[in-house]
Amino acid sequence: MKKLVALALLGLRALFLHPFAQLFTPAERKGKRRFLSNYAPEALVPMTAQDRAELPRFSGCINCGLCDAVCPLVGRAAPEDFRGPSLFALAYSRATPELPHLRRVVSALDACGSCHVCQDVCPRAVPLLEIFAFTKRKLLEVDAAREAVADEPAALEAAVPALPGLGT
Amino acid sequence: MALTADVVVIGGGLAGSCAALAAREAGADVLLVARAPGASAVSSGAIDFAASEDDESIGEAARKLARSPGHPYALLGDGLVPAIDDALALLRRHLVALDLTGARMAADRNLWLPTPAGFAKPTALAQGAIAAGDLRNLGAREARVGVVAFAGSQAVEAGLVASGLSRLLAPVSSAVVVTPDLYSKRGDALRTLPEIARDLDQSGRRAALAESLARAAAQARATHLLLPTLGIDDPVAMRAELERVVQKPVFELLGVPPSVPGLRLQTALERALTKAGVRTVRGVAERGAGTDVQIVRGVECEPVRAGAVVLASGRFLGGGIRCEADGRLRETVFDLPATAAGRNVLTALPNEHLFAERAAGPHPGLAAGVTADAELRAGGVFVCGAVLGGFDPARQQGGLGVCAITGLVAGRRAARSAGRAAASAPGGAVLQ
Repeated sequence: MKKLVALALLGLRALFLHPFAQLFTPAERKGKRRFLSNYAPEALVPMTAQDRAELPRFSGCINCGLCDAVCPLVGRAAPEDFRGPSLFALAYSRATPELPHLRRVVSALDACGSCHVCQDVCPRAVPLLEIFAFTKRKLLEVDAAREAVADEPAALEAAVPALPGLGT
Repeated sequence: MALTADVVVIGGGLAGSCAALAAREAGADVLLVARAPGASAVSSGAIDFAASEDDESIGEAARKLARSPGHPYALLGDGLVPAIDDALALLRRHLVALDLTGARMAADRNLWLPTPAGFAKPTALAQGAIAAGDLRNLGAREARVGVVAFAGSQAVEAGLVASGLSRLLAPVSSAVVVTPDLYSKRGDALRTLPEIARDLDQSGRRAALAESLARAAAQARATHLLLPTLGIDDPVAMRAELERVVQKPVFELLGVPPSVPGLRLQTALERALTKAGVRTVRGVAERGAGTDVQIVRGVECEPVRAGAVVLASGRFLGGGIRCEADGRLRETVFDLPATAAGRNVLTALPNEHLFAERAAGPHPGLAAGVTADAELRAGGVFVCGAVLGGFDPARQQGGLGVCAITGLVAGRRAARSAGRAAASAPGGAVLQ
């Protein structure tokens, strides 16, 4: 009996309440737009086909540490701010959600005068300078995406009162 | 205009450098093409020819290795032991700055040096401060070795080294951890050994370390000090300075990547090449039209006319051998046939091997490479170093030794072959 009641309630919700609520939900709060707006706060930005084509070239690092040993920036900044080029190839270019936490590390690259030594010394010919540029660009993209949604939710909340129990 | 040289060496690690130096000593005009430092620069810095047991000489141990199937030592036949003698002499002659200490010839015995994992590595030659830590000397008299921990730095596990050394030196000697109050801040935890070594190259920092070491060593009642690293530039002077202040013998540990002794070795090799008059070009060597070599730098492309070519491009780390996505093995410059355990394809290990508690055994991929004939030739070029297959430096040891010996032999033969080619074709020879 309990099972039947539960099924009936589920059916009621799926067939009537949810479609009914959807009718009164503005376009921003449903479908693909809502799905995408959840990505930006988590610093997930779209990877273009070109980005995807480049990533395998970026992933050749074997952590030998030669680039860190020759980079003139290492030792100039505090180690927690800049430990050397290898971490960009090993970790920082992999996941955009980390980037907002690495602002100081990425900004340490501003002092990089593109002396090339790190890239020249790499036994696997990992394109480190391209990885630096890629990481900087991704951080800008993350910031832009988060800024775009930062003012939106408040406006949305004001326009649509939450309908408790009727998850959309 | 094409570059010309009697001998063109592809690869600037230990094998390529030994080939270039040997060819130069044989009177050839040598051009060395290197894209990047490669594996020698991340090596431990210990030049070992063969791991020996008990009181075996290096030559005897090497002859044993030559019996394992496909090992490059087997290609040298009776020439193996003289080649070890010559390689030792060549290295000592050209790498004076490294203060190489240890064997003088194949009849000598290996040094037994402490590794960062707390084991002993038998090796023929090592840089002065490292070689001084020979465990045979330490085990013989009563010693209390202080393994120096840069406590903030995760770069070396001093506790692991000390417990390993205590086991190795028992029952006469022992080891303890010594913790100076330098590199002990939170920010130091991320420092790598090359960073610390570069920091120690400044005289102020060296003096600070010496003082704090003197205090810490006295407290721990250590009779000797084993440091994770000395400075990069002048470890000889720094060791002397430390010993003067601390009043105890000071040694240095072998390297792990990123390795300070490896970086020193690479720098010393590059200086030796310049001093010997070897022309060095940075760039990627490729097979040119016909059988010539060309050097590619970005969009530039320069053809090279060579009397003979030595291939010393390394294995996976150096980029001489590649394993394609489908498992096919490829030699990257001349597309010579590359194999592992007789096959051109590396098959993936079954999952249960990857998750097994113990390694299942030697992996054929670790000995992948080109097979050469008794003249160290393959496809018309001389081949030396790790690009030669048939040996697994991690399991069999002797990695840098194979590079030094085959490099030396290949370089000499290339010089001779180029001389003959020039004599028969005075208009300038191409490689056959």
